[in-house]
Amino acid sequence: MSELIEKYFTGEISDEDKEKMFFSIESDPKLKEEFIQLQNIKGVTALYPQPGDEQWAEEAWLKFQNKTKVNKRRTIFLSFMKYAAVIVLAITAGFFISKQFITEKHDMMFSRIEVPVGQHIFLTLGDGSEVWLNSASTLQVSNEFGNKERRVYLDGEAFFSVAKNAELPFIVETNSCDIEALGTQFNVLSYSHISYFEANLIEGSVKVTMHNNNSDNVVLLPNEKAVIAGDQLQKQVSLAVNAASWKDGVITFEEESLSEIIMKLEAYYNVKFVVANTDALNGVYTAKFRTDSSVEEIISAMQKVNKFRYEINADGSIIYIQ
Amino acid sequence: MKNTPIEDINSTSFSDLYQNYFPKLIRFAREYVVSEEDAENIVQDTFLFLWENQERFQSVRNLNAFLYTLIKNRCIDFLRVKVSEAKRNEKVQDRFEREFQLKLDSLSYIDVDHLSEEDVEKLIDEALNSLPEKCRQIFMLSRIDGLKYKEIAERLGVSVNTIENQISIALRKLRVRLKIYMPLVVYFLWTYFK
Repeated sequence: MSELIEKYFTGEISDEDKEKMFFSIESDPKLKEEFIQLQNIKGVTALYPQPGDEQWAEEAWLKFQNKTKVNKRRTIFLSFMKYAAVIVLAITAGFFISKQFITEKHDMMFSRIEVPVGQHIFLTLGDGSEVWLNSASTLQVSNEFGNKERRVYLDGEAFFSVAKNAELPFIVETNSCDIEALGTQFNVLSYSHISYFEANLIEGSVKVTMHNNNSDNVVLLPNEKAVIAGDQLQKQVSLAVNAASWKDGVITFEEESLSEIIMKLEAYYNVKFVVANTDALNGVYTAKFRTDSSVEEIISAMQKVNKFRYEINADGSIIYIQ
Repeated sequence: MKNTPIEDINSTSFSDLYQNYFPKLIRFAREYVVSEEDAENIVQDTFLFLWENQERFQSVRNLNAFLYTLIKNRCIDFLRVKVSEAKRNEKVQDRFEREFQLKLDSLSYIDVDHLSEEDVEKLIDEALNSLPEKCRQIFMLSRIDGLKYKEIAERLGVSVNTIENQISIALRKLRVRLKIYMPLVVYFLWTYFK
């Protein structure tokens, strides 16, 4: 029987013998002791160094360092929280936001808040400014925030209610433009993967400046918006309160063409539109939808006004307009 | 393998600790939890736990013992779950339950304090060196290099029977040499092999 146990530990035992061995061990304490001793000799001798250990350990250590870096980043995020005194998870149109959906990534200098598709987040920055972040948007805040200036980086759509502080300008940097404010309320829509930019002013005044040309800038007054037409900034009239209605659970389209609406829906819902019927793009809509409507509910309501047909692929990621 | 006082755990000495122990601990854990993947998870999680709680363990004097205790306890927890899973699952044969239970029993006999009190490597070296040369060579090929009896026999040009005998001699000697790691079982074995 001892032989079977030895065979067990050299991996040369058949399943049948294994069964036999376990059965005998159960009724024979001495055999059990032998098993335990051999097992533990194997265990202890496993601690003996082996060729290849060093390389194995080195590779594992690199992986381990990557893991622990993530944890360091978390600490940096906490220090940012001193500035961002409160993060309030917004309740918008019945959306439930759980903290696990908010992911943060940091370089040494930034804290970053990402909003998942279909959700909204409300947060208060350390200076008292309030930010509503729309679906699929990212906001980065420098750890230097509030030292010389108040600069945030936006990819997506956000509504800002900036706390007044004449000495520290509040700057929203996007893919294409900087929006500079002192104390004011405005909405910015600028998803980097969609070639559409819009800044709507509700109260106060802001200055919008193109990145690639500092002399190309516009100063907005309430109910004006800045858009990019061609390569240039253009001022248009807007009912700005509609542009920011999403934060209260309502998507508003104010005399907007289907082509503009499609771009926004692509951004909010992370879907792709394929348009075969280009005539449909010229249709103009004024409409309000709840932010918890599905993209299909929206598109199916719109096709009743200006006739077009649509189809959605199986996983809902592509919408064909025919 | 020196005892590293935990006060020294800055990034560099933690790196030393990690790289010194990682492969050994994985081999050790694998002896009990069987699967390589589970062993790796247990060891990796333990190091992560140590790293994240460095301040809490400032007062730990003997880091080796502490590390072994953590690994041992985590393997025991893991095996307990496996045993109760095997019990609940009627389709799985008793064999698995018995096997995990035996591994669990074995592990609980391992004396971690002794494992760290002395330099384990040195002790194993001594134990191995006390074996006759051929016996030592065969044992190393089998236990350390993980070769099968048949492979060793072919490599050394001897019969499988010889290998079996030599392994058996080696084990008997090692049992005596390494007995401090398994203090509770010594008595039975002593009488058994006399």
